[in-house]
This record gives sequence, C-alpha cells and structure tokens, in this order.
Amino acid sequence: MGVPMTPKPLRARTVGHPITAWSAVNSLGDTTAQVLAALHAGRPGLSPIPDGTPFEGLCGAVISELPGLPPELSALDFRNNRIACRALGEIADFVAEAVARWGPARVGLAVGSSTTAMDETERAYRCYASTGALPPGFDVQAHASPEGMLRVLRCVTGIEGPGVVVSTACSSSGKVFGTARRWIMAGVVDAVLVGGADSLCQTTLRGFHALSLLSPGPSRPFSVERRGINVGEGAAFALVEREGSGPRLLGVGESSDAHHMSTPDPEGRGARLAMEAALADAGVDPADVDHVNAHGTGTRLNDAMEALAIRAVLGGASRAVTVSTKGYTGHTLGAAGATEAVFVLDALLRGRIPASLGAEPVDPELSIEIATEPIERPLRFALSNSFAFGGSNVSVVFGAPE
Amino acid sequence: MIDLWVRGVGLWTPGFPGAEAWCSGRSSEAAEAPEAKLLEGAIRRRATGQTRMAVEVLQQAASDAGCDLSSVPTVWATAHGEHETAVGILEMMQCGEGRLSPTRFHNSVYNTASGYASIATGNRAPSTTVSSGRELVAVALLEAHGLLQAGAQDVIAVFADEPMLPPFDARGAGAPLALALCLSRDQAGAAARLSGLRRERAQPVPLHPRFGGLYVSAALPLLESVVAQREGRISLELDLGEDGPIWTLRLDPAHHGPGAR
Repeated sequence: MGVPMTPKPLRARTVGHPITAWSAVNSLGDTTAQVLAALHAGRPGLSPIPDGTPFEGLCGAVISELPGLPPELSALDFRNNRIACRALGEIADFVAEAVARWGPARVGLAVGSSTTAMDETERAYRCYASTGALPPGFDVQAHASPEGMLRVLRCVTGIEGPGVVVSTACSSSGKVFGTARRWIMAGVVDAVLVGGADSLCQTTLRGFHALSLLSPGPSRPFSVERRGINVGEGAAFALVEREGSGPRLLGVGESSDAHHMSTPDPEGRGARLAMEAALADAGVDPADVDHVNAHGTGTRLNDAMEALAIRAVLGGASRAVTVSTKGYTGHTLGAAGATEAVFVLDALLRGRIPASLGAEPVDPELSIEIATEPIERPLRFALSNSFAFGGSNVSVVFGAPE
Repeated sequence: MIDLWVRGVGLWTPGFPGAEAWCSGRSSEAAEAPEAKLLEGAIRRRATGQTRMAVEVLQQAASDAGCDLSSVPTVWATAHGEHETAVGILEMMQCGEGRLSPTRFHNSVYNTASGYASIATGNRAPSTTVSSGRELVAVALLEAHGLLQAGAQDVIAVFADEPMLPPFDARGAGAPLALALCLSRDQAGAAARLSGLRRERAQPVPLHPRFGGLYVSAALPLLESVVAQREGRISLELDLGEDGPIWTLRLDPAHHGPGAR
C-alpha cells in the first residue's frame, strides 16, 4: 500500500508559517465581514439555481453586481475573475506590502480552481452552435483557462514569482496550502498568495445532477436527513509568509483514495491518511485538535466515510468539534478549500465555531461531535479537510496566533 | 533554486511510442494510440487520448527508473486538462434537454489521469495536477522539487496536452504530446542533475512544427538533453513572441543515460 511521503524533521515545526491576511466572497456576502457575520448568525446564502438549468433546486450564488476588471484586462473580464478580484481587493494592501517586503520575484501565486471561466466557454459554445462562430475575440486558451486566471491575478497584484493553478476538482484550493508550505520551506519564495475561485456554470450544475448528488432542498451535512449538495461559487485568498504575525499554517497532508473517480472510499482510508500526514507534518498531537472544518458535502457517502476517518485519526477521547459550513455557502468546489480555510482562520483568531447548519437531527451513526449550536471558546489547533473527484484528498492544520 | 536528479524518462506522441524513438527520429506507424497498459481493459477502452498518453508516459518513466508505481507521489502538468471531454460536454448540453453523462462529468476534471493511475496501481501517495500558461514546465518542476525537499524519495512529473478541438482551435491543430520525468533526491541510478532553476533573459524554446504552441512541448529540449547526455542551460518556456525573462535551468549529465541499465 502506498503511503504519503514522510516529512523530514523540521526545525521549529510547530511555529509554521503565519497567515497575515485573508478574505472570502461567496453567497454569504460581498465582503469577508459580511460572510463571517452571516456564518455566525446561522444565515445561509442559498437561492434558486439559475434560469436555463433544466431542473430546479438551490445553489450558493453571488447575487450582487460584481465590479468589472480594469480596462487592460477587458479580454479577461469574466465572472470567475470578477469574483476573485472582489475577494482579492479586500487584502490588496497586505499583498502589496508583502510584494514590497520580499520583492516581486520572491512572492509566489498558488491558486485553485476547477471551473475557471467555464460559464464563459459555455456561452461561447452556445454562440457557436447557433451562429457557427465563437464570439469575436474569444480565446479559450488565453482567457477562459487557468492561464487566464493567473494573468489576472498577476496583473492585479504585481506578483512575479512562480504562478500555478492547482486543478484537482474540489481539493484544489486546499492543496495550494501544501504548495505554499513546500515552496517557502524549500526556499523557492518567501511568501505565497494562495486562494481559489470557482463560479457557477451549467457543466457543474448538470454534472452533479447527473450523478444524483444534488440535494432537493438545502444541503444538510451530517444530518440523518442529508440528501446531497448545493453547488456554490466564491473566491477566497490567504497570504502565507515566512515571517509575520497571525494564525499559522502548520502542516499539510495529501493522499489519494485509489478507489473510484467520483465515489469516496467507504472505509475513508484516503481521508485518514491525509489527516494523519497533516498532523505529522504539523507536529500536532491528535488529542490537541480542537476543531475540524470537514469536507462535509452532505452526501450519504462522504459524511459517513469522513466521520469514520475523523474517529480513526482523532480517537474516541477527542475534544474536537466538527462543522461543515457547506450548508451556508453550498459546495464552492475549487474554491471550497480556501473558503473553509478562511472560516478556520477566523475560528482560531476569535475563538468561535459556527453551528453546522442543517445538521439536526444529527446522524447517530457518525459518532463524532458536531456543533449544532455556535460555540465560543479558545481554540489552539484546527483541521480543514477537502476531498475530490479522482480520490484527491488534502487536510490542512492551522494554529492560533502565538 | 532546485537540485534534483532525473532517473527516468517517458514520451508519447503519435508515431513515437517512447523517448528513445523520439530522440533517434525513428517513427513507427504502429504507434498511433498510446498503449496505457496500466489501465484495465474496459477503463482503457473508454479512456480519452489525454488520459491514455499521460498514463503511458508515467509507466515508461517509472519503468525506466525502476520506480514503484504503487507508492510514488506524482505531479501532472496540463494546460487544458481533459479538453476532449469538456468539449463533448458542451456539445451534449446543446442536445435535447441537455442532460449530461455522469461518467463524462467526473472524467472532465483536470486530475482524471491522476485518478485513474492511482486506482490502477493502488497508489495512495499524494498527487497533484497543476496548470499554468507558458511557465507550466517550470512550475511543475517546482512542485516536484517541493515534494522531494519535503521528504519524497522520487516524484514522477507528467506533462500532457492535446491540441484544441474545433471550434476552439484558432491557433491551428498540432499533435498531442505527453512526456514524463522520474525525479529523485539522490544521484543513484540518475541520468542527469537539474539545478539552478531561475528566471532570466534567455532564448526561449523555438516552436516545434509538430506541436506549435502546445505548452508542454517546452519540456522537449530538457528531455532530449537528458537522453543525449548534453550539458548546459536549458530554457523551459516556448517562444511566443513575448518579451521578458523566462525560466531556465542547468543540466549536468551523470554519464549513464536512461535505459542504460
């Protein structure tokens, strides 16, 4: 059996890397403050899925009008990039300070996305199907692609270090924390802007519908009545630096299920390996984990196998309180890892855990502690899980500011 | 920046079923589809060309290096992922009610080849799939470097892309290309050492007439120099007529080429 790489012993491994700024935009709000206020008020951001979808249901859409991109980026002025830029705009000053502090070539860019501008490509293809030609100037390679997304983020931030889009479906923007940690530890760069952005499109809505994974009503992760996901959209960013103050990125564990393309291993072996590797990388004892922001999609299989893995890793005496925040935002797919990392950073900074929306009545077979009410208490260490098609798993350990 | 060793290589493009065939210019008409023997019958028959050629070169590089495919971490680099499947989905949405095939949908993710390879080999090690523009080859090497520095013994990096299909093929059609490098922390059994990855003003890689602007083809001079045991600085970005610094690295042969064992 394959095992995740064994991290070599690190100096000062519990110190980790500070996260000096973060932001998130999604169906809960247009600013991080609005998003967090809705989260802690127990207010979901779900709305009916868009017109033009051949079935009904709910999704987590960014409803308000999004500002356009600067004129020099007009060819890339797509919804996915607009959502990303709105989230990034909030921490632009912090990113500019990091670029000035370390130098533009010593700051990297590692972002996750599964869709990039798929909605634009769909629109272009509909135009082609009806008129025989793509819209003038539409270039899927240069624009509606990971390359296009990177071009926008580089232009807006002035970052000149290595730039990568991790595209491993729903684990994409969790895995970028691994890239950031490894690049900083290997001396490639001194800071990495990590994040993710995904936007609603017909491919994902119809795809999850075809897989019978869409919930007919609001998604209810960990509930005995759970029936699937709501697809969401959003963007989130975090600035990871070699030095500075803030909550800390302590460890990352990645694994593969080696089981099935879209069904998780019911034994949760891949999930367990990712969490174990993350805690080993962080040098954090499982008994010291206070909080888990679960992948928690609200499908029968995911929540059952994830609870099994959490029990196996954290043990029966665990004090960890588990939450899924996908009942608020929907499943933001390629943006989920970064979005939920932002929720965890806020939890560690302020000592508060949101209620796991819709979890009651909790599935008694899960046998893990689910937060059915908001909790306020000091937190030291937290895990954030993201799992994906292809059996791609990541777990990230964060710590409270020192 | 970076210090790693190349222990094995793999390559597939129509007519050239391996790195040696490519480097010696010996084409073979029999090699019009990648074998991808790693995949089981039914999965192989249904797999896209993208997945098949990526899995094929993964296996070649592992076999060349004597590396265990059931435990090696992998990095997959692609500009467009499962483009053929994505275009198929766009077409399906134009027909009737526009319902999608669930299998096509889960096979449309960029990490499809990674998923099938890990299932076929029982490999639960970390695997990532990265995309980028012209710096695709360099960032994939940086990901591999990061994994090696963090403790992995070997990492296989797979580079694979197909030309765009109509109507998205405005830049003209070329040939698909997949290549792979088995990278290691240790010199044992290595063919070449890679070091000094940096951005500088240098001559970019000329577009190959067969591949045009296919970003992964920027890895060809690197692979060819490993096989030919040719030392020097190597550019990792295509000449797209843009100005500015590009990623380069230094290659030093270890004087026993891949396949020499």
